[in-house]
Amino acid sequence: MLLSVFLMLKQDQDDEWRSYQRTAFDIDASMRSQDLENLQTKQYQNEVNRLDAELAEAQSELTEAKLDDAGLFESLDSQIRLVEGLELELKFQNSDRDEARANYDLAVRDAMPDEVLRSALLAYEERQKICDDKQIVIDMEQDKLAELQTKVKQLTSRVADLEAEKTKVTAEADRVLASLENIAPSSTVSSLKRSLMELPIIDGFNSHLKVVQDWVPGLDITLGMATIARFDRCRTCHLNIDKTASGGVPAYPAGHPETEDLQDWVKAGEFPQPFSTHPNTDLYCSASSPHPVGKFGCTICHDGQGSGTSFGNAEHSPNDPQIADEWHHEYGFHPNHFWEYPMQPERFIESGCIKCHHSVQELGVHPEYGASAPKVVRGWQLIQKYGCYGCHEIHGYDGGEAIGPDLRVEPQTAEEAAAVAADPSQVAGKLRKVGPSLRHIAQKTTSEFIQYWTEIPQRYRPSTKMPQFFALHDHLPDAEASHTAGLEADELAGIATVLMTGSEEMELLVPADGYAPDVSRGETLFTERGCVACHQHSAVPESKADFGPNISDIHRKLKRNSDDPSFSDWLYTWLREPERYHTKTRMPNLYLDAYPDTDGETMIDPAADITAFLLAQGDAETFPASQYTDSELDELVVLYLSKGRFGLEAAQEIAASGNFPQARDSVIGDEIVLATEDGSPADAEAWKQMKLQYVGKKTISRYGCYACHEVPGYEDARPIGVALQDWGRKDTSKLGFEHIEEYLHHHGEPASSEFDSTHERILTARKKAKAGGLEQGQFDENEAESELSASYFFDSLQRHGRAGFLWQKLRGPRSYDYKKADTKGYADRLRMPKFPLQEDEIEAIATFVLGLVAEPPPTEYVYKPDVREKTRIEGEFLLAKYNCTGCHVVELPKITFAGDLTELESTPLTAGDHQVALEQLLKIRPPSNGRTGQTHSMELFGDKVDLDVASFHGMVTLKPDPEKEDPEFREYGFEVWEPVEFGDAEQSRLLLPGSPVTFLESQLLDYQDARGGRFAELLVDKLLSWRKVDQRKLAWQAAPPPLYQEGIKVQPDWLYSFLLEPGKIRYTTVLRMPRFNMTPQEARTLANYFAAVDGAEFPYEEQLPRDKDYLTEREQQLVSAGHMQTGQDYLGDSWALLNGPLCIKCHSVGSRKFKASDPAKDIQGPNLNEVQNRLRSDWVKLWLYRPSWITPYTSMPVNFAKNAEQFPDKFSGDPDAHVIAVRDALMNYSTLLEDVGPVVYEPPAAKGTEAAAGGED
Amino acid sequence: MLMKNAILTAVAASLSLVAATGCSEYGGGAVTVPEVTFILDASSETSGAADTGDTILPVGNLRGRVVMTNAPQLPLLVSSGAAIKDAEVCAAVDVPDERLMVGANGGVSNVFVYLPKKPKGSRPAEAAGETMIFDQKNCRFYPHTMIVPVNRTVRVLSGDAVAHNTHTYPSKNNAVNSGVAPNDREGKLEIVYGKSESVPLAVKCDYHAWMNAWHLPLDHQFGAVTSEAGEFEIADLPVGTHSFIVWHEAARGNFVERKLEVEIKEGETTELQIDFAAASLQEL
Repeated sequence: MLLSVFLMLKQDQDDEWRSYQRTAFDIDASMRSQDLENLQTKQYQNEVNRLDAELAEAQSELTEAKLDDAGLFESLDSQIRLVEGLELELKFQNSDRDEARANYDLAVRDAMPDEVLRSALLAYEERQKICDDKQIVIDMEQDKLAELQTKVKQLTSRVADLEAEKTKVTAEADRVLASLENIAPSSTVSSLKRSLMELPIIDGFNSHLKVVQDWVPGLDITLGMATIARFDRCRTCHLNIDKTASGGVPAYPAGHPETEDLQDWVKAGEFPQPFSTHPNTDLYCSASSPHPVGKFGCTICHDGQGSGTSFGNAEHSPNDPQIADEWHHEYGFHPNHFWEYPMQPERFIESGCIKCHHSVQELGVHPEYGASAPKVVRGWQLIQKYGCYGCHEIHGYDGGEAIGPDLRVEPQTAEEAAAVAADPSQVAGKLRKVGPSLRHIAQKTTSEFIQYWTEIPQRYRPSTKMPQFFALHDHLPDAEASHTAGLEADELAGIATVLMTGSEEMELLVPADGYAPDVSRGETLFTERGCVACHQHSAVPESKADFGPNISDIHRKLKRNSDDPSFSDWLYTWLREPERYHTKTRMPNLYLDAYPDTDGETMIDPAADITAFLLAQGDAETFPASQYTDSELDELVVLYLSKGRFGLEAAQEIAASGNFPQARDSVIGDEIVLATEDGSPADAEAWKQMKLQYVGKKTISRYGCYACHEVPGYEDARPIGVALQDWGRKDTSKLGFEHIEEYLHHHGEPASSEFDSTHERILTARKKAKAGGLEQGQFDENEAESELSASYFFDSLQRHGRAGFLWQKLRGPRSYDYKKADTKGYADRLRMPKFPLQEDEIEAIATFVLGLVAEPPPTEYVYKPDVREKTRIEGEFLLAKYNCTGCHVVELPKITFAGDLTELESTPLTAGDHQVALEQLLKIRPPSNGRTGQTHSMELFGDKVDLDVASFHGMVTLKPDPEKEDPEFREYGFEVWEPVEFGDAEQSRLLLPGSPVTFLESQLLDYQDARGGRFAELLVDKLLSWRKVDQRKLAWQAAPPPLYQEGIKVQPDWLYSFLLEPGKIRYTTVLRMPRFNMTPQEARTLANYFAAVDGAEFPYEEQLPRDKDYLTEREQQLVSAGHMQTGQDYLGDSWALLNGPLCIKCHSVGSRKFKASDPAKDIQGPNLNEVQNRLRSDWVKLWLYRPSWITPYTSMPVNFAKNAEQFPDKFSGDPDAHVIAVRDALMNYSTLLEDVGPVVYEPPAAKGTEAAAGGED
Repeated sequence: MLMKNAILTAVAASLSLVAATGCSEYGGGAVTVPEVTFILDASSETSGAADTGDTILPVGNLRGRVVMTNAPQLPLLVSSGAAIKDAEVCAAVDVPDERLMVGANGGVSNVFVYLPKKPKGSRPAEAAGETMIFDQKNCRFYPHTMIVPVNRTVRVLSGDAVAHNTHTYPSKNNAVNSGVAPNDREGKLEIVYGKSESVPLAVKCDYHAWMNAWHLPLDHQFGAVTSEAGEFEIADLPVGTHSFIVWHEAARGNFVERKLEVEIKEGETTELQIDFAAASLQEL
């Protein structure tokens, strides 16, 4: 028994966490020592020495003084004693007096006779007098004491001051020393005491070595059937995980130090596990982060066994088998099958995020934290891209309660939508099917193409996202493979038959009679009208867009007009009105309406030109039809009939005879296509078509084609795959691994691989890893990542893990049927198609799917954004859904450079600039800080220099000339797009939008591309090279505008309507904002999104210039400033200004039309009638003051410069008053047009006093 | 800071040079040129300081002519009486298309001939001169091309009874885009370029989009624009070989010559004819 106790004690003492804590304390001690060293500089020592010396001197002076005037110090002591004695006496006497007073009060209460009262009062008064007398004595003695103290203080003050000064100087070092003493005492006694506290039993009394436990009462954990409180003891070993240094950065930055000497770690500032701090402490663990460890614990994100205090018990998971081997060697690691939630390996660390972040979006784009979980976001995006949710629902709601991310197809019919809307426990899916509609397919292409395409989509278009359902026979024995290929030929013919016969006729649009499409203009328009914002085409190799398919090949597949093989009415219709073909298409209506050419007469039909261009790429192709046989067709018919309600013999009989034993009316199900109207036998040719239809319908149902495509007759069909919302917790015993290991032993790699089998590939990878991996040059960098990753998944597969299953399921979806052909009927085989996924994409998808656990934590833990943030998140989703960022820049490029910031000058204000405009600018766009606080060492002009690192948002205006070799001439020029402050506390260096910043090529440290707007940039380059414009800024005016700071510009209500029905705003652009298939709710969200990201008010209500009180006040201001007479009509005069000879130069205004001179060059501004609804009044004011402070590339000039006199007869010619008047007129436009009507204002022309230079001409 | 250090080094070197040779004027006889490493800051030249640090070399002149044969005849940009915006002013007279102006003798005007940077050994630039005038009449800028020394004020005038706006498109300077009131003979709008540009910048009027001119801010005096006869002259170039840029708005890629090497000899005027082939014009 005793022995057991000792053994237990011994074992307890040997717990590895104790040694970690000791090491952590050693690290701490070393850090403190280093801190101390850093603090105790030579200067510090000198200071301390000086103070010590002075102190010693002062003290000796004091000692001498004490000797000289011993009487003083003695009197002080005795005086103190005297005063204290007197005060004590007074206390006693006070209590006697209080007693006497109480006695008197009692007598009064008891209504005692007068004499008793009198004597009691007398007694009290006597006592009070004694007290008073004593107080007088004390006061006198205290005065004496104070006198003595002052004298003494004069003698001792120098010592006291010096001591205080020393304390101040050494405070920080003392603090560090004290904390160091605490961890590593210098005295033997303390040290011994600390060691004693580590001894068994004694360590139970608040030892410094102890289990650290985070109890998170809100986050229960379900183990088996029981739900218990979550206790995370991870910090017992990971002692420093939440420790931050000043600035909130990790106090013990994580790293992989080269040595095992902790002194080296301290020196390098780099610590291994478990001594390091969590990365990104601004986001995790620290008390100020959104995920403080005290509230969240560890295992809610990481999984693992929180209560474990050893490496093994914590259920760590290695990131690859190589690490597993190392862990095995170091910690005796082995995977534990009995713990339900082993820790997520590093590669899946982001899986945990989606437990609480159901909208996922915020993990990819966040104004403060950036992309905090990019891998899980990528997985989520890939699932949306490939439409996995069409077959595999990811239902994010349980009875209306959110349980995780929600990825489901939207209701397909009006009835379904109404039913969901009426049921409070249901939430409708939001996603559209990813493929194109097949409702009118017969007009688009041929039956042969459908068969050719469906068999192997990538054969026709390598970049397609359509997966491959057919010709996946690797896993089958040869005979079965060829048999399957035969059956598949019938299935392909069947699908085509169903689609062609079920296709509904659609009325096609045609160009105007006699219109001759222009192929070369079509090519220009193809780019200019925005097609390449979403599509790639070999004719425009610069476009890398992949939102829509690569359409270089569409001339091959499309049906041409029977009377004109160079044209396709279908394509023309699709371009003009995509929603006519597919009501839910992502292709927007681009407003490709016919318009007159510059001569004003000849019409140009852009859709016809683009159609002609696309088809001129080559002839239509004849595709081979599937070579199916009748016998195999019959085999399939028999197979499906016998799986239904017919016996095998009956089925065979039907197939052979062509006589379905029922009339069509009485048949339910797909068999209806086999029945004739009256139940009579069909003729041979008709019967064949009927069988093809039957097999086609069965195949469509079996493969779930309708999961991605709208197929007539399948509107109500349900998803065919396993739902995935809780797949991350799926019982692994329910996964069908079958003979997968055997398969991977012989197969599993594509033909292009250097390996014959996956097994061989993994063996090679493991060998290379063992031989030193990347460090020893066994792998190249990409290879190490991909091969170790594959090894991880293979290992997981061997251990029947979810990750391994998923990996192989996506790599070779049918491979789990290896050697199953004998026992599985043809129709029961696996149906999952093969998607064109790379292995890193598979890993991203796995990260997302493994995180689908349907275990929502209590609501306070679920991420619940406020309205602004929610709008931002939903808006981001829509930006991606409609590819808004394909055309529009939403965040400008970020430029980081090294430079001498003192050389920058604040943007000068000129005589024409309004100070109030600057104030207005800084109010709606507060300056950003250009200084990063970092410095960069580099060589410049032959000198080694340290330069400040600064950054700003802006656009490139100048690139290094490739023909200039001298580095001195290789310069970058940028234009800042935001007010940015490069100065410091001493001097401001404020650059305003539009200011240039130039520096040498070598000074550019980083250029972060704009977010969005690839197409706009492409178009700008094209327009410049096409010489339509000679300035980049003018080309930008012809391209989709950046939506930078759109939120402070437009009114959300206007934007809402505009998104639903975009009217024409600009005349300078070569294309128009298209109309998307957006729901009103989506338009509302997107309209608010811009306001939300820019911190602007929404919904917007401010309508100041329309407010009567405002207008009255404004009139009074102008009257008192002498700019207006009382009774003058303020708005009327403002309306005149707006209709003066300025705005009309570029805008149509007040029912007068803009006068064009040369349509190719003219710069026509937007119509002004929409301003009042479209723009925010504050923004309009700033725009009128100084347009380039908002959009540096604009052509809109400063019309009312501070020193200009445009209209001297209005508002005394005050330019400031002009700006506000024009703004107010714009914001009251329709009222003024209605009330005052069209006016023409001609100001008195300024008189020239001398002839102009060209005056003689 | 960096620049200042370089300047100090150069100043010290040049002072010691002056002391050694006793020569304070250029052209004061043969001198041994000591090795002076001077680092020019290409981004922020303020020529005054730099001049003091360089050894001053003897000078020569360059005189030349830019010639084009078989130049295409461009149609008028605006014909008198055309139905355009502000026709009463802008179409009051014929306005030629100034993108290519070739004289009767084949001389091409409005060609910029300049050095990309101040050459070593040149004399200090003269102090900022008087305000320069940039005028407009009948919706045409006067002059069509001009070299503007940095920090010189350009006053924008108008002799038209309609409003204009003057919009500059610089790369390294602050852009200007401001209205010019009708008949503004006072010139409320002033333009100052603080930095050299590597190529001429366009100046436009957005109200009248056909109006076009070119400004080239330079921080040295070694640039010229060809006259109506296609002639130019650049004086006081330090001796040695220089590489000139010859730039014209209608040349393909805008450069007639990117690097025109010319040798300047002491006290001589180098004569030069630059052939601007009609074939190297961009599509006009």
